[in-house]
Amino acid sequence: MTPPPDFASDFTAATFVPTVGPMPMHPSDSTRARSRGAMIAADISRLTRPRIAVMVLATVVASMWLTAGRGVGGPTLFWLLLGTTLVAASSSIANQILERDADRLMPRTARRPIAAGRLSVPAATMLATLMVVAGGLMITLAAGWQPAVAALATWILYVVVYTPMKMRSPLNTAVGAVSGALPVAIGWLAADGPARLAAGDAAGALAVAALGTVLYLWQFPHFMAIAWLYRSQYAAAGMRMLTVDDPSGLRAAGQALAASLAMVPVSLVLAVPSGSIRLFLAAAIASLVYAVATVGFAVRRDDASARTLLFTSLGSLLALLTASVVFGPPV
Amino acid sequence: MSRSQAETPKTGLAHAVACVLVAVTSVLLCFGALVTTFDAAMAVPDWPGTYGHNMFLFPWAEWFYGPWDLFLEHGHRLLGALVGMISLVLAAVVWRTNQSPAVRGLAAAAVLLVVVQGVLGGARVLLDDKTVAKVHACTGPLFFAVAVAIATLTRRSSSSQSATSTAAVRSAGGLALASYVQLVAGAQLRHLDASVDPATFRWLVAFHLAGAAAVAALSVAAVLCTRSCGQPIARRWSLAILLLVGCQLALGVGAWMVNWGLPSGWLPASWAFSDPLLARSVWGATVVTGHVVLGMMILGASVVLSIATGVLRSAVKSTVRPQQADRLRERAFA
Repeated sequence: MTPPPDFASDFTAATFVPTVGPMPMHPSDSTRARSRGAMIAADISRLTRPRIAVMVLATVVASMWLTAGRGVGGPTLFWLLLGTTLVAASSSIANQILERDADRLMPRTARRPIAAGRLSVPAATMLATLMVVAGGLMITLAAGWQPAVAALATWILYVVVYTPMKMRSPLNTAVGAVSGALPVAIGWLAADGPARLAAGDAAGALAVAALGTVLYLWQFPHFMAIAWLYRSQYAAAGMRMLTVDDPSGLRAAGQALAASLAMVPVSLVLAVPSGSIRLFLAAAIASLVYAVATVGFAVRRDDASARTLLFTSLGSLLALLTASVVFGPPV
Repeated sequence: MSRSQAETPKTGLAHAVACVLVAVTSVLLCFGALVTTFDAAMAVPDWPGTYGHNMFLFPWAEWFYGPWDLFLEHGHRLLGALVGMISLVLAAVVWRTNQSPAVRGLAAAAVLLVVVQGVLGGARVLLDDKTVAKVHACTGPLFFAVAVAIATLTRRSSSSQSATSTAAVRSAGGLALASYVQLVAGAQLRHLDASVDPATFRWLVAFHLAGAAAVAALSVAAVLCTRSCGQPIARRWSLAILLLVGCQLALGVGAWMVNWGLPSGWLPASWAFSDPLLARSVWGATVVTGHVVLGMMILGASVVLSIATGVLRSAVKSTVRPQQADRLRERAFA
C-alpha cells in the first residue's frame, strides 16, 4: 500500500510543501480560523500522504483493468478503493510514528505532525489502528478476504519490515520496493484473477505480473534519485541509504541502471492481453525515456540529473498506467 | 597486495567473457531472426522441454538432420540457454574482479534481461501469442546492447578515455536510442497480427520510415560531430556506422520489395505478402533477416560509439576508496 519506499512523500514534502516558520499573527478571528483550518489540512496531508494513496489507487485500478477490463465497477470498486486508501494512509501514519525521532532531524520531515509534537503518539497509534481495521473490513466486504490479506501483507511489510530496515541496511530499497508493488495483487485478487487464470486467461495474469514487476523495478531509479537529493538529511538522521554508504553515488547509479534497463521489456508485456500496438509503443517510449534519464543520472550524479530522473520517473509511471487503461482494455 | 592494487579492476577476464557473450548473442540473434522469417516459432510446441525431452537431451541427430524449422527453433533455444549461462558467468566475474558499479549494474541488467527473455520465449510458445513474440523480439536487441556496453566498458582503455564534445555525445546517444526504437517499430511489422487494420499498418510503416530517416540523419551528425573530437576511435566507429546505415537502407528497400512488391504508392496498401513464395525463398529470407540483424549490429555499434564519445565514462570509475569516501562524505554532508 505503500508504494515506493517514501516514494513521492519525501519528494512532495520537500518540493511542494513550503517549509515556513511559525504562522504569522492575523488580525481577525476569521482569518485566524482560516489559517488554522489550512494548518489542519496541511497536517492531515502530511500525515496521510495523499499523493502516495493516489498512486496506489491508480495501481489497483490498472491491475483490475488488465485482469477484467470493465468487468469490475460500481460499488465494489468504490469500497475497495476507499478501503485501500485507508490502509495506505494508516501505513503512512504508522511509518511516521516509528520514524518520529529521525524525522525531527531532517528539515523536510521535521514539520510532520507527530515529529513536531502536534499529534501525540497514542492518538496517532489509535488513528492508524482504526484506519487499517476499517480499511481491511471494507476491502473484505467489497471484494473478499484475499485482497484484504494482500493489503494487510503490504502494510506489515512496509511498517514492520521496511521502516526499521532503513536504519540498518542499504538493502531497504529492495525490500521497500516489494511493498510498493504489492497493490497490484490487491487489484488482481479483487478482479477474480485466480479464477480467470484457472479458466485459461494466462495473458491477463502475465500482464498483471508484468505490472507488479514494473512497479518493483521502477522504484529503484526513483528512490535512488530521492536518496541522492536528500543524502545529507538521511545521513544526519542515521538512515542507511545507499547514497549515504557510498556518497559518490556510483552504487546507487549502478542499481538504478540495472532496474531501468530490465524494466523496458517487462513494461512491454502490459500490451499482451489487448494486443494493442499503441499501448506497446507507449510503453516502449515511456520506459526508454526513463532509462535515458537514469543513464543521465549515472553519468552526472548531480542534483540536476537526480531531479530530472525524479520527475521523469513520475511522468513515465503515469504514462504507463494511463496507457494501460486507455489503450489496453482486454479483448 | 596493497589496497589500491586490490581495488583496481582486473578487466582482462571480464572483457574476454563479455566478448564471448557478444559473439554468442550475435549468433543467437541471427537464429531468432530466422525463426521469425520462417515462422518456425511453433515448430516445437512444448516448453521448456522439446517434444517431451529435456531440452538439452533432445537427440542431436534428430535436431541437426531434422526439418529446417525444428533446426531453427531448437537451435534458438539451445543458444538461448548458452547465453543465459554465459551471462551468469559474466556477472560472477564482474563481481569477483571488482568492476565499477556501473558495469556491475549492467551485468545485473544482463542477467535480469536474459531471465525475462527466457520466460518470454516460453510464454510465446505456450500462449502462441504474437504480442509476446514482439516483446521477445524487442528484448533480444536490448540484451545485445547491454552485452556490447559491458564488453566496451571492460576494455582496459575505456576508463582512461576523455570526453568529447557534448554534440558528439548527444548524437551518439541519440543514434543508439533511435536505432533501438527502429528495432521496436520493425518488430511490430515483423509480427503483425492478421487482424490488423490497414490504417494501423500504414501508420506503422510510416513510423518505421520516419525512424529510418532519423537514424540516417543522426549517423551523419555523428560523423560530423566526431570529425574533430580528438577521439580517433569515435571517428572510426561513426564512419563504420554510416556505412552500415547505408547498407541497411538498401536492405530496407529489398525487404519492402520482398514483402510487398515494387512500391506502387507512398505506403503499401496491405500487410499481406505480395508473393509469399518469394518471402520464404533463400534470397527473400536473406534480405529480410539481414535487415533485422544489421539493425541490431547498428545498435551495437552505436553503443560502442556512445561509450567512445564519453557516455558513462564518469560512471566507470571503480568504487571509491575509503579515504575518498570520507572526503566525499565530508563535502556532501557538510
